[in-house]
Amino acid sequence: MRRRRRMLEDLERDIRDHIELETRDNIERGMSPEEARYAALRKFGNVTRVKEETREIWSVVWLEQLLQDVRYGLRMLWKSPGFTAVAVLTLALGIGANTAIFSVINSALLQPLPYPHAEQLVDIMETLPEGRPNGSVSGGAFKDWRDHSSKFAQLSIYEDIRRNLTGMGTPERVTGLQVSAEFLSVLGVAPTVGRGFAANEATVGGNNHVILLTHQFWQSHYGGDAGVAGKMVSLDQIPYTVIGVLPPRALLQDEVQFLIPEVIDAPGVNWGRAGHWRRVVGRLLPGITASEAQVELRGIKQQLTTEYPAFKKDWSVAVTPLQEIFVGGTRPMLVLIFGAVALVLLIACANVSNLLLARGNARSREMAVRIALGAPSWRIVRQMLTESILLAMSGCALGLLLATFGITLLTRMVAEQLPQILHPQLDIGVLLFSILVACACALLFGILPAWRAAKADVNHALKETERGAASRSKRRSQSFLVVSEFAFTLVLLIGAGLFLRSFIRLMEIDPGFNPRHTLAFDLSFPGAKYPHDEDRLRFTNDLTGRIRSLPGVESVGTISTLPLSGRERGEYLSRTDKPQSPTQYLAGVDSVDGDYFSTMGIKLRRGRVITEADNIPTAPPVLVIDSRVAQDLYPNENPIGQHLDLLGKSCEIVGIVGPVRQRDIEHDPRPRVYAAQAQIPTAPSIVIRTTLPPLSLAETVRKTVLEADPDQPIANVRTLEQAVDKSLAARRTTLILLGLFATVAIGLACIGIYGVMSYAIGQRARELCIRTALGARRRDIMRLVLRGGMKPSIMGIVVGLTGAFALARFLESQLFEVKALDPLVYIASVCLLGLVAALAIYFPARRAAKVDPMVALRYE
Amino acid sequence: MPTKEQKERIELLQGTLDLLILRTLLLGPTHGHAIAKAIEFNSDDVLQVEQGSLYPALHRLIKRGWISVEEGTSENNRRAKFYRLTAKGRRQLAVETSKWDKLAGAIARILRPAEQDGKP
Repeated sequence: MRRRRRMLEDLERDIRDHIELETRDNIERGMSPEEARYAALRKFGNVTRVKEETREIWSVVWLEQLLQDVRYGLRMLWKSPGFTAVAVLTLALGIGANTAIFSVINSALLQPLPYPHAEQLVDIMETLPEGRPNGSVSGGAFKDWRDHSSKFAQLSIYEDIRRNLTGMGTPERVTGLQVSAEFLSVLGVAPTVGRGFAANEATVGGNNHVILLTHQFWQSHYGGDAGVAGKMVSLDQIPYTVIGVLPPRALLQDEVQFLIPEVIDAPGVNWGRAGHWRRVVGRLLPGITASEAQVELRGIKQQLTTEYPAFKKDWSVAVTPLQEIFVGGTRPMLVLIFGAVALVLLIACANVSNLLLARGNARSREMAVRIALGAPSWRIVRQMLTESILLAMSGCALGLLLATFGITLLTRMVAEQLPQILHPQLDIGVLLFSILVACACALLFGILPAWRAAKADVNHALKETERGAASRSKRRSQSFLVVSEFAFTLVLLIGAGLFLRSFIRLMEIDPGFNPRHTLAFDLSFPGAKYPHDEDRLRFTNDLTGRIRSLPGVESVGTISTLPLSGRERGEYLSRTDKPQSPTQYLAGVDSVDGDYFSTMGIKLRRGRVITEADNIPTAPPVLVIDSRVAQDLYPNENPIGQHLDLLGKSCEIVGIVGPVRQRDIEHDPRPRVYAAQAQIPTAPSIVIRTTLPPLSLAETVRKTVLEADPDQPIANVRTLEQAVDKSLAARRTTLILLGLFATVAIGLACIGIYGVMSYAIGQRARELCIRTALGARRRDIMRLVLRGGMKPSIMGIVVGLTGAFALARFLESQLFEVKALDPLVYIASVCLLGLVAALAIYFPARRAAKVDPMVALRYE
Repeated sequence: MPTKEQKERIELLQGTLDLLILRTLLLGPTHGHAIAKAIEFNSDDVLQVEQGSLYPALHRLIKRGWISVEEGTSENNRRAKFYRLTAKGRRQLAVETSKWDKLAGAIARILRPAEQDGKP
């Protein structure tokens, strides 16, 4: 390029000199100076053309033409600001929404977890005979894997723990992980302050009372004090020495506030092959795949199978990429939302294409003149496509702006489903994606108008007055766009409808308890302060008594793990009279006090609940079972008075209650038995039924707890309605987004059909006026115009229905108790879209019918 | 109205000008006006280029790398561009010349077959 400028700079001088030399020669030949100059110029030829030809040699023609197209396109867009604004806004909406959703998909599903060589990180799990993961791992299995496997660089065991933090203001229930020494090096995380665990800190005999803080905890409790190492933290009345601080958002579990060492083979802790409450994370050796490791670990389990307890004979091992474990669950939801947002973009493209077509008509003379003057049709297509790309790029720029807001909003919406360590953002990949999408859009919405412009009939176009009839093929192009818009919109509407229906079904589900008017919180009993079960029981009874006497409290119950708290304890049961049949019956096990069932609104079906007399350690053990256990273990028998073996004790069944959805609202209740608190002592949750707005009671309850024990934190204060809501959060997010996109789609489709109608009526104004003048009634005109609009809408609805039928089966797995071909949803969606379309068609039609023929004809 | 003198002049074939420029520069580097003069003089004024068309041709040759350009001083003591044949241009001249000879020979044979037959 520089060379070109230099070459051309001197050209002028060369030509001037050339002519001067020639003039001098001519004078020498005897011409007069004037004559000589004239002759020299004549001999040289057309100076401008010479310059132009020379310049052309050095120019990159396509680039110059491109710049020309861009300049021209910008001028054209600038000249019709209304059109440009609508088109850019429409595209910005579509591209922005796509970019925002893609950024979430990118961070969750496409990018590796933000750890070094994250592809080597795997979760290792023991699996049940039917192949389902058990959810947790026994310490013994972990030691087998660690000692016998050759596929791992390192393995680490970890478990969720909760501790009472005291000595730092109000006592607080904090969540942490107890991890073996290798945990941080498996993940590849280094503390930003201090150091990680030393090997001896996680072994018997070492100093095990050391603690690592998360960045968040460090900020909230120590104000980011760099000298925190060496300070003491009291957990459950045991002092721990702070040795370091983790980087911000270092762990996949957002709620974790600290790490303490898991002492392998610690005395008094179950390190056998039964008893599952831990998790294992491993780093594979380079080049080893998860399935290779899985094969090896399964082999190890087979070899050692005699060492395992009998009930684990058919258990196996699953090695799964860590990413899959933490974000895999969000994939169906994200893919679905992405599909929906892509449809919105397609509709937006159809709309812009429509606008371009309408505008192309106004510009048909311009194009005809250009074609008549010799512009080749590819040049016209290129000109039009350049304008499309300019539109798309402007839409992209504005869309990125929208996306930044969208991402913030989305991050908040999916926060429940995604670890914070994955924060969606506008990185270079997302940026590239949205630019690519914009280019694809430009082609998509630009190609039809461009093609139409280029094949314009010059003769016709030059003769055609602006009020003439639009050609048939033009109307066909527009109809095609309306058809596709309606089809896409209907697919979206039906999808959203199916999810709405699923959600309504879920809301109608009886979780087995009544979540209204309840308040719940968790208690904890540090061993140092409550050394004996009796101490704990006494405190619990004392506390429930205090709460029961508060104004507005109807009843108070306690249970080891409340439904929807994300935890569950399972044990194997067997009938005392028939210990072998069935050999393994896994049921949820909880310990409660007598008022629990009435407080929760769980119905007693038969027998009695647990009484205060049952709730003393010396009382004979009794059980309340739920109807599922009754059905499974005592078909055609009366279970009351029978005995079940649980945790080595034979317990008498005294009552049967209704089933409860423990894990979440969606899945059917699993079998569950309830023992007395005194039999299986735990740190319970307390649930209160009140006549007041539940949360207004929270402060009073907190005070009451602190009166009973000033070191007792009150954790996870919540209403059960909140817990139910939380359990439905993922579905709600999906539903809100789908509903939002469907609404946008309807809006765009309406703008589309309205624009087409207004345009078509404008085109036919003269025809309609003549009809009116010749005696057509207003009703006839209306009917004529309506027919023109309804046809493509109905076709669109038919195409959309076909598409929805085809796509629905992909949704089936994500629906809840709703068929993918649910007729109600289909009918309602069609009716809604039809109604909205009718309105968008009716108004322009009425306007057309009202026009005074004299006024309209006078414009001609 | 074209004069008689103009009628006797021959319009250059496409690409011929390039060949003439290369041939002229074989004698040494020179500037634009001098090239035009040389072509006219050497062809006894039969080949008269429209002098302006020399410039696009020169730039085309530069772009192809057949000639190079350097600053020099012209007869009227002005700084001017001097064009010099490059090694690549020299090779190209040989190629073009032999092509031209073949073409001229062939055309001559077609136009005057009898005369050629008559030659021993």
